[in-house]
Amino acid sequence: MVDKRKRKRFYGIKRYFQLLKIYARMDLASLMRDGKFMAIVIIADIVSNISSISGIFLLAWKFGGIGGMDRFEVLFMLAYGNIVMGFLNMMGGCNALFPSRIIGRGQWEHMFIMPVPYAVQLTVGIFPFTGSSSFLSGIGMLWVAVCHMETVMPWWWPGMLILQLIISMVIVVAFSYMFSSLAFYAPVQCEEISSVVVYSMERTMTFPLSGMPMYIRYPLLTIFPAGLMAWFPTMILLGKAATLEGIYPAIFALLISLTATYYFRKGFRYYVKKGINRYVSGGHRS
Amino acid sequence: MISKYMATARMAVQGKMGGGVLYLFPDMIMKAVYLVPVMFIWKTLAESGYEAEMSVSQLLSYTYVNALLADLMVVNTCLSAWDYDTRSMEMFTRPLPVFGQVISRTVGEWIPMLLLFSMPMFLAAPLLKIRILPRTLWVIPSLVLSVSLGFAFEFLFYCVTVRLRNVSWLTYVIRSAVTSFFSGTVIPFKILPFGMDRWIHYQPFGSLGGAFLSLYVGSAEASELIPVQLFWNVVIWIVAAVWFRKSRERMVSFGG
Repeated sequence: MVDKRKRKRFYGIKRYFQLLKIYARMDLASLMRDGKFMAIVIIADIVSNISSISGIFLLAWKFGGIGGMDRFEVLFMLAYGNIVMGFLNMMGGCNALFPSRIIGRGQWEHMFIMPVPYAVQLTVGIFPFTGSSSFLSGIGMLWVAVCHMETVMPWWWPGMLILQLIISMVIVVAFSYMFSSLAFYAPVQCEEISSVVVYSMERTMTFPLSGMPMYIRYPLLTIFPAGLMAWFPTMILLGKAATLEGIYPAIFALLISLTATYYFRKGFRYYVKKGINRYVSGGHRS
Repeated sequence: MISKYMATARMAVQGKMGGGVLYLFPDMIMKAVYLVPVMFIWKTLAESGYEAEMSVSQLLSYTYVNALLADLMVVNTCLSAWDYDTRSMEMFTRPLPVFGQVISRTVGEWIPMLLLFSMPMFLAAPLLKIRILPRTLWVIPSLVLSVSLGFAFEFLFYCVTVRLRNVSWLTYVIRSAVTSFFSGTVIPFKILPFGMDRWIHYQPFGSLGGAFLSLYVGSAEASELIPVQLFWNVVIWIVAAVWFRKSRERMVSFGG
C-alpha cells in the first residue's frame, strides 16, 4: 500500500516535469516558427519593463536618490520588483496569475476533466523563452545595482534574497486569488478583477516609500500590500529594517494565503452548484 | 448625424453605468491609490531640500490634474482593448463611420468618471492645498489637440494590431510601454536628467498629456508647445487615416 502510494507520488512529480518540458518545448516552437514575430514580442516586453521603471529611476538619478535611498538602492528596488513580476508572468503564462479570467470565462470547468490536479494545471503553463524577458532584465538590473552598492553583503545574503523573492511572489499570488474569488459570484463583472489588482500593485510597487508618512506607508504594507512587492523587502535586504520587521513579510504572506484559500474554497463551492455560462452561440463571450 | 453620435455616446454612458455606480468605485480607488504615493514623492523630494526646475506646488498640480483627467491625457478606446467580444468588428457593420463611432463611444465612456471622480476631486483640490486653476487659457486648445492626437494614435495602433494578426495584447504592451514614459504624464519632462527636457517635448508622444499638463502648471510656453502639437496632429492623423484605410480589410476576429 505504502509502495503504491510512493510510486503514485513519484509518477506525479515525474509527470509534472514532463508537462513543464512540453510547455517549454511548445514555447520554443512558437519562437522558432516565427522568429520575427516573437522577436517583436520579446522586444516589446523588454521596452515595456524598462519604460515602467525608467521614470522613477531617472528621478532618483537626477536627485541623487529618493527619501533616504540612493540611486542604486532605488534601482535595486525596481529590479527586485521586476524579478517578482517577471517570474510570475513567466510561470503563470496560462492565466495562473489571473484566475478570475479562468473562472469568469467559465474555463475552470475545462479543468475538471483534466487528469492532473488544479495546482499542476495552473503551474505548468510556462513561457521560459518568450516570457522571460522581464525576469532576465530584472536580474541584469539587480546585478548592476549590487555592483554599485557600498554595502558589503554577508555570505547568506543570496539565500535571503531568494527567500524574500518567494515571499513577495506568494503575497501577489494570494492577493490575486483572494480577489478572484469574487468571480465565482459575478463572472462577467469580475472577470478582470485579478488583473486590475495585480497591475495596480505592479504600478504602485515602483514607489520608494522611504520618507513617506506612516499613514501612506502602513496601508501600502497591509490593506494594499504593494510595498511588500519591492520596497519593504529591499529595506530588509539592505539591512535598513529592524530584525523583527524582517519577519513581517513572511507572517503577512502566511495570513493572506490562508485568507485567500478560505475565500477561494468558499467561492468554489458556490460555483460547483451554480456554474457559469458565458458563451453565446457565435463563440464569443457575452 | 450629430444626434446619432450623441445616441452612441449616451449608450456608452449607460454601458458604463449599467452595473450601478458601485462598479465604478474600484477604478476610482485604484486612481487614488496611485495618485497618493506620486504626490508624496514630490513632497519627500521637497523636504529633502532638492532643487528642481519645477516648484513642489507645480509638481503636485501636475500629478493631481493628470489623475483627474487621466482618460483624456492618454486616450484609450475600444480599439486598443482586447477584442474578445468583437467590439471592433461590430463597428464595421453599422451605418456610421468607424472614426466617429470610436470617438463618440469613448467620450461617452469618459463622462461617468469625469462627473463622479474628476469633478469632486477638482472641487476638493483647494482643501488639499493644491493649485487647481490653469496658469493660461492656452490649455483649452492644448487639451483639444492632445485628445485629438490620442485618438489618432489609437487608430495607428489599431492598424499595428491588425498587421500583427490581431494580437491585441502585444499592441497593448507596446503602446503602454511607449506612452507611459514618453507622454510625460507621470514624470514631467522638465525635471528629467541628462538634458532630456530639451528634446523630449518634440517627439510625437510628448504632445499627448505631457504638453497640456506643462501648460496647465506653467512650466512651459504655449508658443513652444502648441505648434508642435499641431504639427503632430496633422502628421499622425494623415498616417493613421491612410494606414487604417489600407489595413481594415485585413481585420479578422475569432472571439475568445
